[in-house]
Amino acid sequence: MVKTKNDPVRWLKENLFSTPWNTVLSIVVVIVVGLFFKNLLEWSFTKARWAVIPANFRLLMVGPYPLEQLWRIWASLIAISLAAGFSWGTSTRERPLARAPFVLLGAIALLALVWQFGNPSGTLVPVACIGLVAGVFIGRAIKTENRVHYYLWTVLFFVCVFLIGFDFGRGGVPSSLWGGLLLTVLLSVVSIVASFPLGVLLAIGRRSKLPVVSGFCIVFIEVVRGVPLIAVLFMAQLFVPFFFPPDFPQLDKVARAIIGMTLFSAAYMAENVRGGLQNVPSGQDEAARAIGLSATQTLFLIVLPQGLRAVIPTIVGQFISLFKDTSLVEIIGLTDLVGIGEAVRNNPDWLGVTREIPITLGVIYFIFTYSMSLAAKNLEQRLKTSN
Amino acid sequence: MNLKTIAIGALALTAISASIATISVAQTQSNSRLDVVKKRGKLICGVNDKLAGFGFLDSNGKYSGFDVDFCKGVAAAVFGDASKVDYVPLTAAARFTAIQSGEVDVVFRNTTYTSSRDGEVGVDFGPIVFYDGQGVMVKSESPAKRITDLDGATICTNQGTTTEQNINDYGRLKKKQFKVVTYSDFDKVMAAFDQGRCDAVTTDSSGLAARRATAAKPEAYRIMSEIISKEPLAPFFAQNDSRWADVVRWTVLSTIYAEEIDLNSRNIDGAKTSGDPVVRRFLGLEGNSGKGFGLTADFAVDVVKAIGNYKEIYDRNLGPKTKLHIPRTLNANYENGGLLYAPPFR
Repeated sequence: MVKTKNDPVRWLKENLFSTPWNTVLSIVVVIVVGLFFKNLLEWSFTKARWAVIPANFRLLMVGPYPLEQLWRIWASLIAISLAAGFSWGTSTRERPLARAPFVLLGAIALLALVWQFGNPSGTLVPVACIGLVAGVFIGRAIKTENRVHYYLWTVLFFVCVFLIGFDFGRGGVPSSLWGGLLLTVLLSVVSIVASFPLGVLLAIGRRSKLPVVSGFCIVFIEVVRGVPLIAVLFMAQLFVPFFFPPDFPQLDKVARAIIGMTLFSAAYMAENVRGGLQNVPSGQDEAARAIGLSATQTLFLIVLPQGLRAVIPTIVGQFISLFKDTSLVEIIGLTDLVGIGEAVRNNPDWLGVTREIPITLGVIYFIFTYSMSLAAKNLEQRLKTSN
Repeated sequence: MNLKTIAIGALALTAISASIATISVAQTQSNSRLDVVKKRGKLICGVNDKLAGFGFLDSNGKYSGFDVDFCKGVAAAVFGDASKVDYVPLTAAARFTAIQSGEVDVVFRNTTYTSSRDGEVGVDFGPIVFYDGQGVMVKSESPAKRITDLDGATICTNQGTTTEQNINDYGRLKKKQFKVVTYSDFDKVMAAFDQGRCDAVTTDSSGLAARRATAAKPEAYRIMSEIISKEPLAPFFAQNDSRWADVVRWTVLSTIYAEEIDLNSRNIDGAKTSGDPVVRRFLGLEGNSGKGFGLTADFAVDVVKAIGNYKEIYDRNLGPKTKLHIPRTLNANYENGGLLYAPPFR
């Protein structure tokens, strides 16, 4: 058996050319796929004007964010790398250090040094990489409790949001200047972070025995789930301003989009979480009450942890779809990654360059969503082993 | 719930809505937008960020383009500083709401000035900054000389605009059968055109010129000379605010007037020594035209110094040295056969 697996000719015969029909199908598929890749490669090496990407790299990353304020982004990035390294180091302190990620990091750092990402401040990419590695070693050296990491990330979240926009006396960066990948990530991170607790609360509320609470939760969940996200976003953009008097300071567009997406995502989250809660056998609940835990303790110590664990894949799936759904904000005039891609295509210098940008954006989206599912897989495995 | 609770609830609701109404009325009756802008220290200008030449983000992330330059002009007129602008990118759907809700002060966003928009939407329009019109482009080898020669042909355009309606109306008027096919955006229209799925494409002639100029082989396309619709593009702002309307109007007019009297961003400082009363009045050295709008007497100097006269703005963004290379035709000065004509500064 082992030999047949390694024998390519045999494998081909058994799997692709076993019957005449299979042979024809294989040949057709090979031709179609071959032609596709031939044309794609031919186009990308001869016709494509990839120069559009480095020339507009900063724009794709941060949009119209002012150059002289870019240090805010770099400071946030370096802080995040340090913290990420720290958490990573802590979580792997029991195991030997894997080499592959460091090789990858080194390659990225080197590439950044050589290519500069079309911008002199690209030299800060290696700094961020070094920060990450330093974080790993700190994490492995210092023994910390899980709690420390929760606090660290909560604080870091607010520090970064603050850093990106706050006025330090020399003028802040209004949210109208946030764009590109920065805005996409910000929108999704804030919406994900905010919609998770809200979703859990709604799920618990829906199971409540108080008719007012459960009624409110049911109405909210069903109404929001019955409306497309795009309608929620339009509502937030076009109607919310009329609820305030004309000279009233307007809630800015980014905040409105975040609120819309959070409420939308929370309704779906609630149903996912409720599925998980229903999955917990009632014996668990009864046993917890029997040993004298209060209703709240039962919920937070027994039911929720088990319920949430069961629905991690669904929840991550929802986060991934929320991440991709942020691209809808383009139609309400926010320049997220997709919006900025459209804007670059309409720069007169790059008119007629139509395919290069969507392809690049696809790759960026894939990197993010795939990392998210890898992280989820990792989390699932860890929770399984700790069980 | 007893009657008393209901009554109290109703009373409270009425009180709240009444107070909100009073606030809104008080706010709308307050000062002109000009005072709001001056107090804020910045102009908030609604623009397009996805239209080559008119409003887009350059590689440095700065808003740029023909419409954007006029935003800078208004800021220069109010503050003497063209950089005091915050840009708000607006979609076609959101642009009128943004004015109605007071989110932006003025919108320069390739918007066609029409009676229904002026009458029903609750905005007022400023002077026309660009005379556009819907045209038709065919391949150079096409035998069609006039749009009516395209009887039975497939004409492609993008969705969600009035172009589809215009071409259908035109066909009905001329009793010709056009097969109109729409695509979600104009890149797809051009791709279909190049693949021979469309015999002709139609959109605003500025757009056609831009597409032709940036094509791999511009000579492969021919734009027909006929125009089938009027698309005058103008800025707009909240209605019934004539002081603010004056500021926007005369900012635009000062660029047109400067071209008429041969003043531009380079020679306007030297013109201060001129003895010509027309020039002296424009520069605010005689008379006080700007004062009436709540601006300085020499606001036009600030405008022209910051963004140039109309010709400079046009050439910088749409002219022969740019990739778009849109011929001026209707947008030439009246002395050159165009429609641009500014009332006198006096």
